[in-house]
Amino acid sequence: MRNPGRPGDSPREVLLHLPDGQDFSRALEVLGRELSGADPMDVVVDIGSRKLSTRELLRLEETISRHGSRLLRVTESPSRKGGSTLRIVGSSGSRHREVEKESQRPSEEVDRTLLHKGVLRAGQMIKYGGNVVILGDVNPGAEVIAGGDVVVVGTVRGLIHAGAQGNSAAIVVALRLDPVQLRIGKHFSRRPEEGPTEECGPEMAWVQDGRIVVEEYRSDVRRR
Amino acid sequence: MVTSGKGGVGKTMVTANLGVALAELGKLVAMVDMDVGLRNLDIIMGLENRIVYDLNDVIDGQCKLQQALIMDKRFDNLYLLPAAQTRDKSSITSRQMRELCAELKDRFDFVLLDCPAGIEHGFTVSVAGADEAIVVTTPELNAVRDADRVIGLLEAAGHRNPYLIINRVRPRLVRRNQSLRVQEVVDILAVGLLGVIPEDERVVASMNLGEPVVLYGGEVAHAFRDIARRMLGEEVPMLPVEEGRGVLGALRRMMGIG
Repeated sequence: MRNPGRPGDSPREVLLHLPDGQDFSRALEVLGRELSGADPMDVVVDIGSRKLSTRELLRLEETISRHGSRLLRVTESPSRKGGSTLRIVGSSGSRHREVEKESQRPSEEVDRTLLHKGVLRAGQMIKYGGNVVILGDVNPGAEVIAGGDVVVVGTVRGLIHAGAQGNSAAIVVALRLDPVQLRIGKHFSRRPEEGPTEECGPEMAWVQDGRIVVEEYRSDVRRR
Repeated sequence: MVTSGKGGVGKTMVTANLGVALAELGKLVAMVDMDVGLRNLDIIMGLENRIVYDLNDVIDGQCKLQQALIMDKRFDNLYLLPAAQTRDKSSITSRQMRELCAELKDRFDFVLLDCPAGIEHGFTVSVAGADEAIVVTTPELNAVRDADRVIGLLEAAGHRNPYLIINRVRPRLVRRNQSLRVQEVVDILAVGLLGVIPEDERVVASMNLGEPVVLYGGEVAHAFRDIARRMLGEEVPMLPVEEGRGVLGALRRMMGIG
């Protein structure tokens, strides 16, 4: 199950498999056992044809760091079906996380939705081909880049790019929109200098007549 | 562990004063200076001239742990484990730190790790040894941004509920709307508030004299003693630091945060 890295690699880089068809928690346990007692390593995890949520990715990284090792990246072996690659890039030292979903077939990907629970903090980024829902705030210095719509059940203070593959019909909905920068499709807007507006209900940003407008959210919004 | 991301927000000052405040309450406390190569904690504690062995000597097996621990001049239940001045941070691994912390935890009620600034090796190694994290920030946008980054990294490392200390709050600037409010900082960082410490010139003076400011009395000392009691599980209302002294309305508002 454990393949040694190329000779001369330091620290040791190993590839571990997360077997398909096994409960995620169970598979994590097995992986943890593999790592326990071993020297700190750079770990590449092959998740087979599994689809991991952001939370599962966090748990995976947590399990590995608990054993003193570092998650270098996650690879998929899509086997039968084509599909998408999912990977975490950990830059050395700072453990900067980047969840990246690259789609080989964007048309399929765009209809999927990624759910992230918790605050997205400075230096964290979610990049996903489909829609993104965040239960928590998006803080200054955090970025969300989505192929589809972005819904934030919280306050947006960071950067949001909806419709990142050029879809100007995408929308951004948040309990409170106070982003540093907002991009929808190829449109772009900055936060006005005079600071946040007074409290109001949920807000929505969309493209109207070639520019991004922010208004109070209405449930009867219909995509053009 | 006491951490912040940004440098100069008061990690070492907070560590020293929490150490003293916990020792005053009768707890057996060890303070570990994790800033290998740039040690400071010994100076603030006024213990620089007593250093014989340091953290690296313990880890390298050059001496026993109890030989390197320096007893404070004022409290016999407060100890300092100084950092090496002539080594660098890569000289300690996460595993060595975990082992050292396990040994310290056996002997002491509280082990306070004074982390270096930044999110590089020194931070990672401290994270490996720590059970809980205290994040120090000041009410400034750049400090809050760095604190947020650090909280994200702590969460990724399994520290789900770090605590927050907001240092150097200046009531006059808050009243003039020229500083972030405590509540704004707490809203952004979305973690539990452990304490709010007002700006006070005596803090700087005390550091230069090697006498932690808790020993001087006053509002800052009061704030640290309250934090120490909260760390022991007591419910202590927040000081109305933002409004200056004795404004009851602010007290009530801030209690809601804690």
